[in-house]
Amino acid sequence: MYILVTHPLTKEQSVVKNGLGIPFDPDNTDYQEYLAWLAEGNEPLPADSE
Amino acid sequence: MSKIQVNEIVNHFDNGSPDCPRGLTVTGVSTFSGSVSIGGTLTYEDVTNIDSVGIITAQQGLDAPTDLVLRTGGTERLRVTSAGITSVTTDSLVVNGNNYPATGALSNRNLIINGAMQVAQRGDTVSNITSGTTYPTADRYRFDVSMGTWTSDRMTNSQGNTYESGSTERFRNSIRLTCTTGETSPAATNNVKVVYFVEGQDAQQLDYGTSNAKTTTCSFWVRSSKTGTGTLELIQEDNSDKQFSASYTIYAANTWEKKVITIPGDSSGVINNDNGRGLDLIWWLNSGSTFTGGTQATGGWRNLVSANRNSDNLAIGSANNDEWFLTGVQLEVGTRATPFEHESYSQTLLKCQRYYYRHPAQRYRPALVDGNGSYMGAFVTHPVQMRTSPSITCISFNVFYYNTGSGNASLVPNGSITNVVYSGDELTGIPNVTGISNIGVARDQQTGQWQCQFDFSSEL
Repeated sequence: MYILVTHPLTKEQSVVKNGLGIPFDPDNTDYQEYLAWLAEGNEPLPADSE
Repeated sequence: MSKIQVNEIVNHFDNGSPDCPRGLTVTGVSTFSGSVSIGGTLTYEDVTNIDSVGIITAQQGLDAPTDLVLRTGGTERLRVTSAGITSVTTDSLVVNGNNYPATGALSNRNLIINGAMQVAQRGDTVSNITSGTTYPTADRYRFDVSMGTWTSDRMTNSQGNTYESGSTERFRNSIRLTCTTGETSPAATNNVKVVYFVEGQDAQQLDYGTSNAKTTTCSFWVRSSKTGTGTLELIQEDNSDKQFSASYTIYAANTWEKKVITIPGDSSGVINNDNGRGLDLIWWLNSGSTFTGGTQATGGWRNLVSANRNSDNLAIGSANNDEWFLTGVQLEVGTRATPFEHESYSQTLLKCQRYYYRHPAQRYRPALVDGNGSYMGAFVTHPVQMRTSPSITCISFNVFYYNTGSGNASLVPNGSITNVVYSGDELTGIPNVTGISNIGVARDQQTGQWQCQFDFSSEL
């Protein structure tokens, strides 16, 4: 499951899946998988859901 | 003028040929059925061709007043100009049995990174692979699994004494895929394959999409526990997944064999000049019926049809303990497979680290505790610019040394890391981790040294 996280200083958002931090970069294939997962109607968990 | 009409002219002893001390002028067509010896210089006037049915021997060499040209069947093959420039005009140059480049660059020919499986930053063995698309061992080689249970090994002395007879190529390393739980009848869409992605900007020399689109040759060493035919597939993802495929044959089980596949250029191809996937190389090990039943691409590149993707199914993994090895992968411009281009470990490692970089072990790194002890971060500089902003994993962590103002202090963070956020780019940054409990440093920007290990992935 993807979890939304926010960088503590920059406040940039990214997601974490099974300990893998994934940047919101369109060229990153993990991010592309995340987008495909979103397109299927899924939603990430909020940051405090761990 | 008079005329001598005799059957035979001999010397006056009648035991040899007559002497002609003042020479001999012959104007008609002449036939010499025996050998002809010439003590001086043989000069041809108005002679355009010499037709020899045997070998011409020039004991002192050949000396052409202008260019020296060798032809076969009327086609020029070799020319040495009067200026001393030697040019070979041929599709193939073979020296001592080795093919030499007849087209393309003379070095850095291999478009494949880690073709000799030298680099395995992630480790040498991963077991119990049952699904997903992962990079288990040797860098750059993805393993796609949706059937059976597999172990992936990067072997470090894999070829042992099983080199192909007569081969001059040697590979210490290879990847081995072992099916520990086979699947006799895979579901239709299930499959197992090894995938390699060539970055688009590295494939621009192929000139796809132009009339100069280059033919390429893919060579690789393979060893299989099963004989039969397998499929190598190539895909252009920038071109609606246009596809090419060809078969290779495993003649003997458990024996290393070198395979060579020629791939035609695609004048209507598209490989974007960017950091995305340019060419996909896919070795199919096994699949269900969705991907079989079609044909190989004997007519060149074509539209993607699922049934054509694994037309010759080697069916590795249909039984327990099936094995398949791969090494010596080379993709190069031209119609011939030249000798594998071995390179140093450091060269290959640096190339691999554009796509994946793992700290070699848990080491002390400049780090900080921030946000009143709510998270920690380590400073990172990548060895080479990564393909894109990487995904981050904190593999392990341990003690953090910092200065309390009254001497050095240390602490061992407890708990497990839940979140890793990277603040940086392809060159440098700080992986920040949260979820560590009891950091116990309630001071902003407390710097020190942290024993930790991360890995960074920007695989294609």
